[in-house]
Order: sequence, then structure tokens, then C-alpha cells
Amino acid sequence: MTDAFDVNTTATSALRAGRTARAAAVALAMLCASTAATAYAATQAEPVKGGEITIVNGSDIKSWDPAVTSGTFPGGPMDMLDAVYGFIVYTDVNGKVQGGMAESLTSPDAKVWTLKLRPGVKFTDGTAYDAEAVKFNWDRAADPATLAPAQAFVASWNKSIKIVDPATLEITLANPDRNFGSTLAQLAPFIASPAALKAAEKKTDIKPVGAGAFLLDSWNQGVSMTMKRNPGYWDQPRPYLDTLKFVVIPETNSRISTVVQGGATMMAGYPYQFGSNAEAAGVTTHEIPLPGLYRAYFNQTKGTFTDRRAREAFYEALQRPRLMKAYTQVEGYIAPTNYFTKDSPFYDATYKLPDYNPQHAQELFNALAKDGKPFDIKIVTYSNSDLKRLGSYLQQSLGAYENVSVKLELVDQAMLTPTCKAQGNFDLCVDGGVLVSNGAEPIISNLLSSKGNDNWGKYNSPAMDKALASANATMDPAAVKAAYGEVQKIVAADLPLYIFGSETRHLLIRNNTGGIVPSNGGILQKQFLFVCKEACTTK
Amino acid sequence: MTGLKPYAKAVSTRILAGIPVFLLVTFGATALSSLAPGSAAQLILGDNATAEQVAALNSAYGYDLPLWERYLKWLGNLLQGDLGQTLFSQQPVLDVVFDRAAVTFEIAFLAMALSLVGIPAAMYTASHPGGIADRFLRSLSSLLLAVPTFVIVVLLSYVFAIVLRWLPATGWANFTDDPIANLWYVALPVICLSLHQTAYLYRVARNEMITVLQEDFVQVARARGLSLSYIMLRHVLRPSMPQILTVMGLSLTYMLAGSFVVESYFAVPGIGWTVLTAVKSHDIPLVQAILSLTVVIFVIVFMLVDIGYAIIDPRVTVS
Repeated sequence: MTDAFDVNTTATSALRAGRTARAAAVALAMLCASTAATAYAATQAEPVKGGEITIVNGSDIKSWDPAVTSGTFPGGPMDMLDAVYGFIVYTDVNGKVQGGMAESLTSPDAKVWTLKLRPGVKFTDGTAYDAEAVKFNWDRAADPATLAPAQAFVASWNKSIKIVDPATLEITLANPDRNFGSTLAQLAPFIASPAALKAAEKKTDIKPVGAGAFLLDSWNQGVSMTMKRNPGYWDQPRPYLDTLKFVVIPETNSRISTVVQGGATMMAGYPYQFGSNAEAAGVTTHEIPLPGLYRAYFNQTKGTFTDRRAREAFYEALQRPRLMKAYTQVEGYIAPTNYFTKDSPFYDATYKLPDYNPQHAQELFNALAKDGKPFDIKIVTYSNSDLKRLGSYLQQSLGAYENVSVKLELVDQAMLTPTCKAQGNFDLCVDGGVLVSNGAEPIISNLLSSKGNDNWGKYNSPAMDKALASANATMDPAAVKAAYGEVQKIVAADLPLYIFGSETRHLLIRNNTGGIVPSNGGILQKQFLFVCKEACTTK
Repeated sequence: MTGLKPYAKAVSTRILAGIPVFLLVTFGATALSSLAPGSAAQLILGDNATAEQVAALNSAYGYDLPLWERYLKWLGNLLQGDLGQTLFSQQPVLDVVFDRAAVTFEIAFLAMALSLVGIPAAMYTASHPGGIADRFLRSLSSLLLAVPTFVIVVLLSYVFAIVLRWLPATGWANFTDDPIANLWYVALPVICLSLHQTAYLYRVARNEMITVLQEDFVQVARARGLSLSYIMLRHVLRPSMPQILTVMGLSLTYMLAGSFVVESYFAVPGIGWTVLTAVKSHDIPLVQAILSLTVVIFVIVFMLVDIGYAIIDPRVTVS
């Protein structure tokens, strides 16, 4: 048995990881699930068995398809899937890949990866969680008919999977990828019972049969779901909770009220949303220490922003701290000067984003008009109150300049992705929330590479693709830093995105919540959660 | 039997009159779904779907058909009692609608019942015009009518859920599963929904009763020395009822159709919540079913109000 609160396992893992110099760098990053919680949970109270925790979120999953993964927002669909299926590997808050349902994922050269499964793990239908099951799930995700967000990623290596033995898979990538583990953790981490998947005629028929910490007990789709502990979970005595509930409450303020009042245990959000509620009796906040960027996408395939001067003018025309104030109604934001925030190991002060310079912005607007390319833009965002304020601020501030015309279009949140990403029907598209920025893959490549899944503006730069590929291919930290230096240089030169703020995600939680172990930028490791006998989390 | 004939005729007349409204509203729902940006297929399949996959799903659901053809197909299925399945959860639409409607009906009827306190309050203040109670309730009702429901929702939630912590901020339990929990969860939504209607009902009833109190037959009753409470109950309330009934009918439809603010704020899984979610996710079968149900409810409520007039006042003919 491994214990997240047993520091000996850390030492053991470190010893194990030190066998070869080159493998050490990778292996140290990949090994031992059991150490993941140590840094975060050790300061909390002793785990208590039993009890119930309720996580509130704004939306529900559409099906139990393990291949349909989305995002990193805590409490969301990934959390629900994780509770039942469990991450095969996951990225901890230090960006290190840890074993989850699998024991380890290692590679000596970032090209050939070995996934070692835990012996004896079974799905809740009694079938084996073995190499065949893992391969079946990944082959299914690679099939375009499954419509998995990870299809292209998995299809690039699933044909090379070699089953060494029932507990070992070997994956050979076409090119070395230092970040293979973290990409896998985000895009294809869930393994369901092949029998359950085969039995389902369509996605909505899929029964949630996994080997994760919890079993689905009841589900009122779009309203709530209740899970009970999986008595056969591999990592006993976890999970600690008897019951885990997810409740869907679309309104942010209602979610906050529910947690403050004690009707639920936790929700995710940002400090500006919590306001003084974070100071209420019985609640506290928990920071997920991964900086993320507030960003808007410039459409680089058509319209005004295909001209770099327009993108530069946009930066220079606006005071980004004021924009953040309009968005959050909170003072004190500092505009990011760079793609990487200052606390990132990759931050390079040399390559700065343009600062506020209204005179120069006006000159650029005039020059664009003179060249027959008037600054005439359509801003698309979705219609929540925060983004409406942000949109209005952009419209009013830019409206103060000459030769500028701004139209604001608000769409339903569900329609933002189809409108911007699928149809490209925008000049500037503003998405809500943050994207984790500090080098965490696959987010940076998704955002900036020409084939990136989050590259809504269709930014296409061979130099950027090359720099990102270099950062992924090398195991040498100095070379990684140099490659990300190049990324920053290109970002400052091309201005592919409008980066207007940075923030970390927070949880608003009841102060008797223990075992908070975030993974993949925010998803909680549910098996570690417990209810303390008394307040155990400080403000 | 002859006594029931006019009612049967009235019912059939109103049902017939409701049919064009029903057709118009449901056709509008179909048309609106065509006008909205994006497609249900795109939302169902997600960002990674190819154009071919989106087109195939649109074809499977018939969303590539012309508007009129799509509508007729839906209408044909409706006549066979088949409203299809929800697009996302693939549950029978009728099951979802009835399940959620039960929640909304419970809240609406409880709110309606609560708002009836406006009637005895109106009887008292109408019989004591200009008194402290009259002045206080007039001011209070003006205030409640001036404040929109979404403000009341936030305010009461803050006071009762956050500050006092007497009532839950959100949540729901079915009455059949846990009646006590059900009443606990339903309290705030019901209070929020009823406040506005209580004030409305109170003001209409008070004004109507004050008018009736000026009538000769009331003066005669007073001159005969009948007690004020007897006069209010026997001679004032009944003549005031047609107006009150009209307001109650309007209130009920308001509570049923306008429950989405309350339901979405308090996370109550009723019709209002469901229609908001369905509209956002382009779940057209669900939207059409809910709109159809809403039209049917409106027709039934107004029919009942008309029949109520005739029962209260024999001078009114239902036909």
C-alpha cells in the first residue's frame, strides 16, 4: 500500500529514479503516484474515512465517453470522468507527470515510452484493467468516428503501441516528445472497461464502468449526480469519502451562495468572483498555483488583424489593467509583459508585449485607414455579465480613437467555440477564464502552434512551430529554456494573441475539506479528498 | 345534463381557438432554431467533428430539411404522441418534460396558494381604508411591484441563505423522496415567486372591494346592521371575484411561464431551468415540447378562468 502522506515513498521513488543520468530527468518527473499528494496534503489534517463532499459546477457531461475530454477547469466534466475512470497519469502542480491508474510512464529518450500498469487492478465489472484494455481505449480514441478531441494526438502514435505483457505497454512516437506524458494526461487519460464500451451502441448508452475511486450511484442529467466509493479501488484505504456528489448550478452567484451557506463543499472560480464571500464563516479559498492568461484571439486569416499594425495598435490603444478592472470589477491587476509570467522559469524580460501608447496607436489607426485597411472590427464574446462589461469597455475605449469602428457581438457560451473556432466569424474573439501558461504542455502548443486545438485565430508561423517542436523534443533544460525564449521572441514580434491579464484559479471551499490535490491544472484527485472533523484548512 | 352543455361548448370553443396559437408558437420555435447561429449537430459532436460528420447528423435529425417540412414532420410525430428524444441525453422528451413540469407546477401552485394571503389582507384594508394597515400594505405592495423578481431573488437569497442561513441557497429534493427536505428547498423559490403576485393580487382585490363597498346593496346591508365581516364575505367578496380570478389566472401563467429566473437562480430543476439549458444547447425537440406544454397550460388556465366567471356570476354565459 502506498500512502500519500508517507514521505518514505518519496525517498524510495527518488532512489529508483536515479539509475541512469539521462533517464533520471524523465523518470523523476514520471514516477510514483503516491508522492503526488505529499507536498500539498501533508500540511492538512489526518485523513478521515467516511463523509460526503459536494462539488458544484456550471455544467454537466453529455455522456460517459472516456475519450471525450475537455479542459482543466476544476469541478467540470473532467472531474466527473476522473471520479469514475481515474487518470492513467496526471500532471501535478509542479508540472511533473505522476502515475495514477498506471504505476509509471517513463522514457529514456522521449521517443520510446513505457507505461507500466498496476498489477491486479480491475474495472468495476470485474474485467482486467490491463494493457489490452488500455490499447482498446486508445485505438477507439484514434478512430475519427469517436470524435475524440484527442483524435489527432492519439492517432499519431496508437499504431505503434506494443503490448509487452499484460501490465506493460511500449509506445514509440514518430518524434521525441518530452511532454508526451502531460499531453496524454490532459487529452487521453481515461480508460473504461472495453466490455462496457462495446456494449454501447451510441455515446449516450455508455455505462460508466471504470476502475477509479468512485462508482456512479445516480445521475439526474443536467441536475446532479451521486457517486459512492469504489470498494475495490486499488489504492486502499482511499477513497476516503463514502459519497461524492456533483451538482449543476449554472449561475455563478448561486454556486457561491451554496458553498458559503454549506449546501455544497466546493466550487472553482477566480477571487474576483468570490469577493467578500471568501471571508464568510466556514469557508476559505484554495489557490491552484498555476498562472493562467486571460486572452483574446486575433483572427489572422481575414479582416483587420491580418495586418500586424492593427494588432500592435490594439495593444497600444488600451490600458490592460483598466480592461481587467472592467472585466472583474477589481482594482490592482498588472498587465502581463510577456507570454510567460514573471514567476515562470522561462520568463525572459527581453521580449515584451507592446505597452499602452495612445499616440502611437492613433498613428497606426490612421496609417491603416490611409492604406485602405480601416480598423473596422467585430468583437465576439459570450453573454455573461463579466464579458459583457469587458466587451463594452473595449467598444467604448476604442471608440474614442479616430478611424476606428467596433461592433460587439454576444453569443451564448455554448456557441462561442462554434462561432469563433469552427466558423472563424470574428476579428477578435474573447473567451472567458484563463489558460494555464507557464510552459505547461499541451496548452502552449495548442494555443500557438499552427495545428493547435486552441489556436482559434489560425495563427500560422513556421518559426513558432519549430520553436515549440524544439522545446518538446529536447530533454536538456537549458535547451528547453532557449526554445521557449524563441517562443517569447516570436510572440512579441507577431502578437498572435491579445494577452490582457493573468490569474490563478481558486477553489472556494468549506474549511473542513482536506486532501486537496490538484492535477492537470485544476482537476482534483478525488481519492484524496476527505472531510475533517473540524476546520482544517486555513484562509 | 343540459346544464353542462354550455360548459362543453365553451371548452371546445376555447380549445379550437387555442389551436392556431399552438401552431404559431411551435412553428416559431422551429423557425427560431433555424435562425440561431450554429447547429445542434455541431454542439453535440463537439469541436473536432468534420463538416461531413456535422452534415450527417443534421441529416439524421432532419435539420437539413426545409423549415416547413421539418415542422410538419414534428407535428405528425406529435399527433402520434412521439416528441422524440432530447438531443444530448437521448432521453424521451415527454419523460423529461413531465419530470421537470412536476417541479414547476409544485412551485407555481404553492406560490399561488401563498399569494392568496393578499385576498384577506385586501378585505381587511378595504373595510378599513386609510388605516395604518391600509397605508402600510399599500406602500409595501407598491414596493414589491416596483422591484423586479430577479432583484427579489438575489435579496432574499442573501438574507435568508447567506446572512440568516435559515433556508438553502440552492438545491432540490423530490416531495416523494423526502417531503420535509422538499418543503425546505422549495421555500425560498416559492416566496420569491409569490411576492410580486401577492402584491398584485392584493392591490387589485382591495381596489375592487372598495368599489363594491360603495354599491347600494352593500349600503343596504350595512343599514340592516349586518356585521362588517359578514358583509365582506357575503356581499363584497363574490362580486369582486371575477377581477380577482382574472388576476389569479394571469398570476398562474406568469408563475408557470416566468419561473426561469427563480429556477435558474435557485438551481431548481423545473421547466424554466430546462428551457434555458435547452435553448443554450439547441436542444430543439425539448424546446418545442416545453413551448407546446406552455401553450396548452395557457389555454387551459384561461378556459378555467372563463368557466370560473360563469360559476361565480350566473349573469356571465360561458359560451
